[in-house]
Amino acid sequence: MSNVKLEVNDLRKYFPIRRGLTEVLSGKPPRYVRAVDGISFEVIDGEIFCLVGESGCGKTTAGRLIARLIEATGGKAMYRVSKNVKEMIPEGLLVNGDYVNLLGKLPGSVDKALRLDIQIIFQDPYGSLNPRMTIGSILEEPLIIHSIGSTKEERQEIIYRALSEVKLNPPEEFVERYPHMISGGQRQRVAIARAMILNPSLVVADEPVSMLDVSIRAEILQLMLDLKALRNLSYIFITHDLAVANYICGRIAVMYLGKIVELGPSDKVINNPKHPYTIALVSAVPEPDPSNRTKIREVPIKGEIPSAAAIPSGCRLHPRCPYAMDICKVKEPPMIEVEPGHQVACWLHTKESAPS
Amino acid sequence: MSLLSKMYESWSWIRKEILSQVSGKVAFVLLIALIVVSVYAAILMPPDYAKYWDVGSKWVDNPYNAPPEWASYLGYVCVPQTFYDLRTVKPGVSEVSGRVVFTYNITYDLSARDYPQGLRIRANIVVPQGVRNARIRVDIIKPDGARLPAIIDTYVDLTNTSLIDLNLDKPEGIVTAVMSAYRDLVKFLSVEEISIFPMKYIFGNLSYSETLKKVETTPLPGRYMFVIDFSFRVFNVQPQEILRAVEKSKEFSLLIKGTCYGLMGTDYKGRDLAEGLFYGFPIALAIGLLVALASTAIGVVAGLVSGYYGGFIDELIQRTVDVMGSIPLLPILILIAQSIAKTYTGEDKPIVMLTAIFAVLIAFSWGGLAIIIRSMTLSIKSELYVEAAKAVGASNLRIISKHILPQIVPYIAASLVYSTPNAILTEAGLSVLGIRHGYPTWGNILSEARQNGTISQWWWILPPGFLIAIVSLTFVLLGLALEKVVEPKLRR
Ligand SMILES: Nc1ncnc2c1ncn2[C@@H]1O[C@H](COP(=O)(O)OP(=O)(O)OP(=O)(O)O)[C@@H](O)[C@H]1O
Ligand code: SF4
Ligand SMILES: [Mg+2]
Repeated sequence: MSNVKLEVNDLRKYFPIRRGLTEVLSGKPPRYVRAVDGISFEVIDGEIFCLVGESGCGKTTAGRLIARLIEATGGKAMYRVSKNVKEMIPEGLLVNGDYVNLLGKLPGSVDKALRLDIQIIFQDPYGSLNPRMTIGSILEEPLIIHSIGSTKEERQEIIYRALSEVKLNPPEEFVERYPHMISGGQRQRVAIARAMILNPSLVVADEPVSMLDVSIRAEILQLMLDLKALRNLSYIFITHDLAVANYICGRIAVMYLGKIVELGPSDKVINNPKHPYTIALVSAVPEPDPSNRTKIREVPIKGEIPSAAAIPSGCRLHPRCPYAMDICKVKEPPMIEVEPGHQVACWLHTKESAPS
Repeated sequence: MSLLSKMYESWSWIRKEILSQVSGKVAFVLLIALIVVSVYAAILMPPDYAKYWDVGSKWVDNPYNAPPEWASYLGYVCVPQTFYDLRTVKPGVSEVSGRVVFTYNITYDLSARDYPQGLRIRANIVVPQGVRNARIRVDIIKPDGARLPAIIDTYVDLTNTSLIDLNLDKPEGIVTAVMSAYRDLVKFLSVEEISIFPMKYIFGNLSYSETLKKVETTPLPGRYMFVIDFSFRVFNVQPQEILRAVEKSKEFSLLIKGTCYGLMGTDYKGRDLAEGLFYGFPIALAIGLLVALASTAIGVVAGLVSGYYGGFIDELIQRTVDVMGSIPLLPILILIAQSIAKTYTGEDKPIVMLTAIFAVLIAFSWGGLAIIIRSMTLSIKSELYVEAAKAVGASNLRIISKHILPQIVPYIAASLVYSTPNAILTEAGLSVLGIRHGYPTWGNILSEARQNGTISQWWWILPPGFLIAIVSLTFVLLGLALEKVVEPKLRR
């Protein structure tokens, strides 16, 4: 049995842009925001796989695609279902025994089964909890949907356990409260409890601490690590914060304008970045050791990130890249392995194989 | 169970919030009164009341265009309605030239300075075998001593039947009676004038006016004596047998119609306005609530579907709302009403008409709510917690019912409250414009006043208008109170 939990291949999501009447009449082709534009990666069992990048590069979109909250424009995401879920999925949909393509058309029952197995924690704990529902009923909702716990008391029991697990004690005090009666950190704990209550094996965590007070970020991250250790979990962890990534990630994929530009073990990507964009990102991170600061800041990147609706030709970084060459403007660089497990998409590293 | 208790909980919360405001308190009291009266009236209302109200023969005994009895306190001269049940009166019995004669002497005190609107004798008596014929003759002795002989004199042949069925409300002998009673005035009396206003000559003081060159009448208060001779040609029948038959009869009565009537007076057909207004309660409430409920239900469903599912169905619903919104309601209603009035003339006309009015009112009143619900749905749908619910596997139905509906329920309630008086007012407006169904709605009563009344008949015009206003006020106040519950920003 393979240890690949999820294999994503050429995942794409284009959001159509509303066209004005003149545009439609003049026969201009429909335009798209290419939020995710063909990314490929693997998530290994028990791994924390990170997606990092600036705001608007498509991290959330990628996470929502994998959590199947939006429909993909193209690509494949083969997911190995866990044992208890496997029996709910008809044979015909299984590939290689255990794998299901998350992006394919799936019948309602399979969709529901997969929701048990893949969960998502949202960035904004203020928006992700219905303000009109008590914490208890927020946590009860998934149980009711999936018919877990046959009586109210049983469900209550499960909810108490879930709350204790995320360190909201005593649980009977929290179930009666409404979201506005608890702090941001506590809200995110509730959101985590909701994701965990169905006992998933893959959790997409979309910047789970970025909206929280700095003082409690570490606690929440630690909680997530504890939960992972306790259960047989894999995380897809989305962050724009390399410091967080350094602390938590096994492997990192750096995204720029809907593409992965560099992917590899986190220490390699952060300590030995190859892609000019990653180098710039790393230099933007406040470096705890003052002696290193000057060293890292030598590759500043110019200008602003372009809109995902007007992606530059060739390498999408070329208008901002200090190393940009002619080829960069016309041809997209392929993913190249620069050292074992460390891939980069940049002509600087592919010169020898590039057509001249 | 938990749903019920939740509903009860939110209901008691809403009630508490509403009652904490003055407008809410007033609305609450009015609403309770309105509901109690409506339910009571609905229980009492006969099944085919529309027909009954419109063409009912029940009203013939009532004075027409009569102000309420209490109008006498406002300075109106009121002759009260006086009814004599002759079955309970012991007549003098005699036999005159082979006829059995029952003589009823009825005294009638006229104290008001006005003429009664009419008099009527009605009999429905099954006489014993052997009564060959019967005759009713009425003489009136006026307070001034004049005797009007035989102002009524009717003969019933009973050889082939044993039923006396009489309804005598035209004093057909009035002309000759007056002529013979006032011999000195004969040459000034005009037959036409006596026939047009017979009551003036029965209950009036007659005098010749030199200036007008004709006989004038003024009301003549005092004690009147009605001498009713009820006589029978019999063959082998004891007078006691006949008397018993009269006592046991369905009806044998004398009615002197007054000029004032009941609590709320009457209209031009003699219809009891108190009754019409009373039965108008449940109809008004039914029109208001039915239209409001139906249009709110349609608006909510359309808005939810439109906002939640989007796409083609959204486009369809929105364009329908646009089209409905640009069609003028009134001409359509008039058109439909006219074609129904032409097509249905039978018994089902009132109900068909009412249904059509309902349908059109409903069809034209859901659009606004649908647009509001749609935009609310759109904004709630894009909330992160809805996405979170999807992530744990919530179905569309669940998201709509658990996450979207609870938030729009207060708006639904407010819309319900606001559209109720709208429907009542529109129906009243339609009635006044002549789109009628026959049920005694307040609007209908008003519209009849417009056509057949005069401005001086305030008892006919004011009460229905007042009731419409009160009911609208009830719901508007309730809406105001509810608005503050729904929109906490408005709370002081
Ligand atoms: N529903 C949508 N419709 C249209 N465009 C969208 C939609 N969702 C995202 N986008 C666009 O797709 C691009 C990527 O957005 P995404 O939210 O995935 O970025 P992100 O990397 O998560 O950024 P952030 O760090 O700000 O959360 C952005 O340009 C955004 O405007
Ligand atoms: S491919 Fe060219 S433009 Fe793109 S990052 Fe590499 S050097 Fe810069
Ligand atoms: Mg994001």
